[in-house]
Amino acid sequence: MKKNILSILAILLIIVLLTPPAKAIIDYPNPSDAAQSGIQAIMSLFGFDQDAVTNAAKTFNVAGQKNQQPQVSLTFTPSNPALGQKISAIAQPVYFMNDSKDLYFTWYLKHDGGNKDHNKDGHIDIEDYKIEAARIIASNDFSWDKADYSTSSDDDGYDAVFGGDDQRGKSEHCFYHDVESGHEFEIECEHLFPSDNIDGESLGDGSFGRAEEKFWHTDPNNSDTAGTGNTDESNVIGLGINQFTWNYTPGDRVGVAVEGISTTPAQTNDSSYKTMWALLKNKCSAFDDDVDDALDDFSNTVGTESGTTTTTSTTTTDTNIPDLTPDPGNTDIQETVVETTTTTVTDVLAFTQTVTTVTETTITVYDGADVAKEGTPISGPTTTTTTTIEDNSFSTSEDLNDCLTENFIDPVEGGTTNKIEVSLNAIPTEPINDKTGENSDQLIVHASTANVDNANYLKYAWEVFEADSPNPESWGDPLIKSDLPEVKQTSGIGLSTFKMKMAMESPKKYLKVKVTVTETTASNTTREGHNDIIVPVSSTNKSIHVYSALAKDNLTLEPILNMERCKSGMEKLICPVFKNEIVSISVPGLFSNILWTLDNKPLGPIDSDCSSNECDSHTGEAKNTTYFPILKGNGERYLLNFSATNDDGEKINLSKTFEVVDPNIKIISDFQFTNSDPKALCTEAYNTCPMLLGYYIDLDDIHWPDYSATSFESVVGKPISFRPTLVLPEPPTNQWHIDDVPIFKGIENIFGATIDENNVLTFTPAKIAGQTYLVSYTSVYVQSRNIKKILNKSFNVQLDKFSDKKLSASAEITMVDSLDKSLSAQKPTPKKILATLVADVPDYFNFLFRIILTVGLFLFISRILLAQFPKTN
Amino acid sequence: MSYNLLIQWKEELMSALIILVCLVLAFVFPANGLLQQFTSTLVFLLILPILYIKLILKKPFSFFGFSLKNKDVGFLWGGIMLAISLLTAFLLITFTSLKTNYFLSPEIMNNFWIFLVYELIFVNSIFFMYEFFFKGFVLFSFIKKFSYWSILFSVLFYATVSTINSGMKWQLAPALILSITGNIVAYKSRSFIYSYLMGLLFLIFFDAYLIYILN
Repeated sequence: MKKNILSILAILLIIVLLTPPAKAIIDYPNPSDAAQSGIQAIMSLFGFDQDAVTNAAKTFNVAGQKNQQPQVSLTFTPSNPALGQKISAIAQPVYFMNDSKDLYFTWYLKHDGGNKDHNKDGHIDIEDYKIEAARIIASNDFSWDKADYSTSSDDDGYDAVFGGDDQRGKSEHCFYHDVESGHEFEIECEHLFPSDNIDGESLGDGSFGRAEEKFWHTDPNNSDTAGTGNTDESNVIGLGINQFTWNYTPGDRVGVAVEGISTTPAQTNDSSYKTMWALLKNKCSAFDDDVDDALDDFSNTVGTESGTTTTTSTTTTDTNIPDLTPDPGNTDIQETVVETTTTTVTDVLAFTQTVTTVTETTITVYDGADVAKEGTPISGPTTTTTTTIEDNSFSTSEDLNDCLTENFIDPVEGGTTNKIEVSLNAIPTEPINDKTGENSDQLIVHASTANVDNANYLKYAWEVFEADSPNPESWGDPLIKSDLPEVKQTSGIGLSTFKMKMAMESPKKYLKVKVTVTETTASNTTREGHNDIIVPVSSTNKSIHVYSALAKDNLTLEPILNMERCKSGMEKLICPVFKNEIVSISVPGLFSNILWTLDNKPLGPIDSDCSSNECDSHTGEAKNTTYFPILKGNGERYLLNFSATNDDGEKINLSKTFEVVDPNIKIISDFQFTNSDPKALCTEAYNTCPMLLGYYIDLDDIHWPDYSATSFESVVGKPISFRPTLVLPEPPTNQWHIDDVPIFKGIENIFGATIDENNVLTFTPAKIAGQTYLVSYTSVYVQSRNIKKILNKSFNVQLDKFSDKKLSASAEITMVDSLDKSLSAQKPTPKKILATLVADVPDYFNFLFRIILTVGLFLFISRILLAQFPKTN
Repeated sequence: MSYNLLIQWKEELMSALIILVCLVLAFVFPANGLLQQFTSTLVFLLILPILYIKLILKKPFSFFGFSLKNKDVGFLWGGIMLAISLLTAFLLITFTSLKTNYFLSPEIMNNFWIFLVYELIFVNSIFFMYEFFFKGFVLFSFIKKFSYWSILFSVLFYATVSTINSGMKWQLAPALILSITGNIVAYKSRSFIYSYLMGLLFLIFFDAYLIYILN
């Protein structure tokens, strides 16, 4: 029974072994391949990419070289110190495990003018630079030269430990990090504290005696001269001293080495971390050769990449193995030798490498001629060879202290920014250019600066460039000053604001305003900063036209187009308007997005239903013609603004100032009407000229003619024209007079005078030279009934606020044979004075007549009054 | 009773009315230019009072201080008041800002002949009109009824009119000094001629001294 069961099991085993999976396993040539295939099958089963896993493994293998070593950087306050000024260097250590208060900051300061040999070792070196800084830190301006160092009452020693104050009790393992390779090499532990060269004393030994107190200039009776909360010795070695302040002299350079533990633990069987030093520039050329040698040795010894394992397998066949006992029944013997070599490299990151080579030889002898049958192993010897290479550690005779001089920083030129920071602000952001100057914006660009010593002594140099695109390939040469309207200065001290009137003749679409700011510092170095701003320019030749408004019976308004006002002269700049009138304003052209504002508030339509066509009746959107009432008092002003987009898509902005004045009127000749230039001289071509009274002479010796407003000269026989300066829209009583004879439009008169539709009086004089005409014009300023209704209805102006005002003006015209004589006289002469007096004679007689009448009247009244009383003695 | 009082004071009342009218008209009568302004002053401060005195009151000018009687008193008080006026002016020039606020045209300051013409023709003529009006017509219109209080009337009239017309200016300082000292001389001598002479001398000395220290 038992035999049957064994037979069944054997059959089942044979069947199982004959199945394809079993056959697949059996078909593998060796177990290693089987294992590899098995792993691949498992990785495939879980979706791992073998290449990705391989890459990850490689990254993992070199991860130790990517560690961030401890580092330190400095910031300076102020960034641009003057000679003798206090300057503070603030150290910012990173990638240390310690708190800043537990780190040792070894400061060193080198003066351009040379340091002293503080430690009296015969040469000035890094130790003297450290002492220079440590004394400043520890003494805290203590008057050491007056102190008595014969006794010391304080206990101010400090026992330093490697890796920082919080590493007390731990074993020391000091490392140097090679920045290029990322390897960290264990070095001999030695602090970088300053050396005072005092026999029997060293810093950090826990003893700070009188000799050291005196050397470091600390108070022998104060355990904490610097007032840091630590002892004097700990202050000297820089425990937690992350800030160093001294009096700056040009050329000073400063450095700091920070000792602490890195974030990487030492690969030792204890709790220690790697003690490392951070330097400002991470430079240490003294170690370069030793590091290179170590890396070369390592590469040669191992002959392969760090951290990898190499396995070599060899299979040989030998049919004649004499040392084996042959199978008596089988003459065909086959021998298989499997040799495995394993190389393992360990502990690479610490650079204390161990290379182990293991060679194993296994001999297997099969019997039977058919190898495929894999006959039964008989026996065979096994040998093992092991090679170990150890203690290939980094060794150097160099000292980290030698690297400190490579890690200086100049507070002015290095490390911190030396550039003046300039920012620009332009107002308006899209200025309007109008070459006539009427609607020109004033472009104001203001420069704000930072990181300067004294903002009052900065030199600003402004340049303006122009181009048709905001990012041209080149902006070309800057515009010269004469091309920049009303720019007085483009360069100068304190010129932080650049102002320019946008009245350029033909500007391109974009201006680039660039400013270069320079400062000469107290240390006689020049610093600079610059910035620019691109300003899009809108050009326009448009202007706001002003008309009187006509109110119809249906209380709608329309501009009186043939009565345009404020077209020239001063009135073009500040347009006079009258209280309780309605003014029509218009900008000819096609516009969209129109916005009218009056005193910076949106100007709405007179009537909400847009009945005067001042807005779109469907949408209420403003149009390019609108109206506004004058409700302010005399002397007050309105600022009207028109913003819109023109048919070219450019945004335009126009403005006009209005001033409320008392209605008044003048009559002017053609010369005054056509000339707005106050320097213009009236010539013979005008027939009629105002009397030249003299000249104003300004400081540049320029003559400004002073013309009479009421006295004129006109050439005999040539037509004379006069017009009123104010044409009222609905004149009930506009009236011209010549020599007190009223002149009516369209009615023949003795002077042959005519009045055109613009109320211009023209007549041809019949008088001879020396004779005069008196021309006068009268009118009454009064609002029309419809205007009053609109103002009352829409603006709540009470009816009793409306008033009429009679206006009049006159001119005396003296006939002359030629205007040349009077016009050529540049300076007043006695003859001219006499002539002026004579010219006023008729007026004087008129005055005399009035005064005589007045005197007579009062004498008469007084006589009558006295006659009422009885005579007395 | 009141009617009789009115009759007794009729000349003073009428003179006060004429004085007010003359002063008002002298400054508000419409006049363009220097010539018309000069004419206006001439008519209302000199001619109208003269006509009133001769035609309405029918009195000799000597009643209104136009006489050279009382020479001894006139020169004595003229001399005293001139000294007081000059002393006052000196103190004002020395201790106040008068010299910097008193205007003299550069031509007058730099040319002696123009200075003489200015003082003897322009200043003289204007000053005579003012003297006739205030120290002749105004003072002597009230002197009979108000005695030395008439000095106060004359001074107040002048000061009020000048201030209204020109405002408080240092330019008026010499004339205000003279309105006090001149009225005292006229009151004492019963003649405005002595006060006029004293005043003219004072103005010449005053201007000359100012020109001297300013140059």
